[in-house]
Amino acid sequence: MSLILPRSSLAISTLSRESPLHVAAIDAGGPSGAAWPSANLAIFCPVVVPAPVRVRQLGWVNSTNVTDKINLGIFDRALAKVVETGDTQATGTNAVQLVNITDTDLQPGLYYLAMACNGTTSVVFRANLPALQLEQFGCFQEASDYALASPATPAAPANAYLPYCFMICGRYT
Amino acid sequence: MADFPVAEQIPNVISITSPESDVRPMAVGTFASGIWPAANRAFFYPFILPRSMPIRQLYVVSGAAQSGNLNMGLYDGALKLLIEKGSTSHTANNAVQFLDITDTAVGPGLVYLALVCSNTTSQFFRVAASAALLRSVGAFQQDLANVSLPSTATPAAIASAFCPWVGMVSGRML
Repeated sequence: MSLILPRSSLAISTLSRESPLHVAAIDAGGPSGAAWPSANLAIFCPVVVPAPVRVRQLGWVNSTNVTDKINLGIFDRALAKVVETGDTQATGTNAVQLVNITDTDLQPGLYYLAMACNGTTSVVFRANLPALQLEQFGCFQEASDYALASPATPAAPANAYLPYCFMICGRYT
Repeated sequence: MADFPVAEQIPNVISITSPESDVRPMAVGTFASGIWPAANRAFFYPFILPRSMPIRQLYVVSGAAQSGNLNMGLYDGALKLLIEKGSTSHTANNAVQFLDITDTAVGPGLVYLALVCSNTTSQFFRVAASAALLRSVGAFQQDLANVSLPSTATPAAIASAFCPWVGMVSGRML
């Protein structure tokens, strides 16, 4: 019997096969642009990294407005912060925005992709999924947490808003 | 108790909407016939194959107009050409156009499915997923002199909101 080795997506995201909300997001019609729901709110989504990866960039996709600043991070299963982009001005409408981070090696396992925004004017791509659905698949939020404090202190999601953000794990153009 | 070997389940067809497709979260909505965005522009779409599998055919779902030639191929994760059909007349009308290729073992891991068309008259079934969303999952493009696929792709940021209904066949389609 041959060995089947796990492989990760090029970009492990809140919508990719590594996310528990992968199918739900597709059923909901894919991502679309919407304003960030609450200033300084941080939203966390679990992803399962299937194989060792080296992450060099984090990113998201801006939609029609780029007024505010964004902070992205990766947290481990103990809710400790592994790496973050830091305070980043959103730039470029209807475009991918990538932020270089310190090269970070992740072992297979559960992590959380976290995204926070310091305003409610910026519009980014997100999946419009009910808060209860986000909660049942392990998503959580933390209010007033633009700085992505470590460890995270989870609270139940309060918005139908799964931000589309990702970690780059391979060659990317 | 004797152990019986379990046959591995290799999918017959892997489509842009299959679980193996990295584009899948963006390939949502209704596929409809649309004009090829630019003559001799090749698009490359990433797939993660969990195991090695033979690929015998590539396909594209053709739309309401046909003209000129097209070509399809597979690339590995290092952007090296594994196999291509070669320049082929675009013939299918609102139907799947299957391209027989030399049976080629691909995977496991990252592969790219490439499609190029020689003109902007031909139509293919596609969803108009935004270029930014396609780029975010690793799709890219390359403008070519003709429909011959390069031995090594040189990726450029994808600029067209065009996600065609394409795929690869491991078994056989009639």
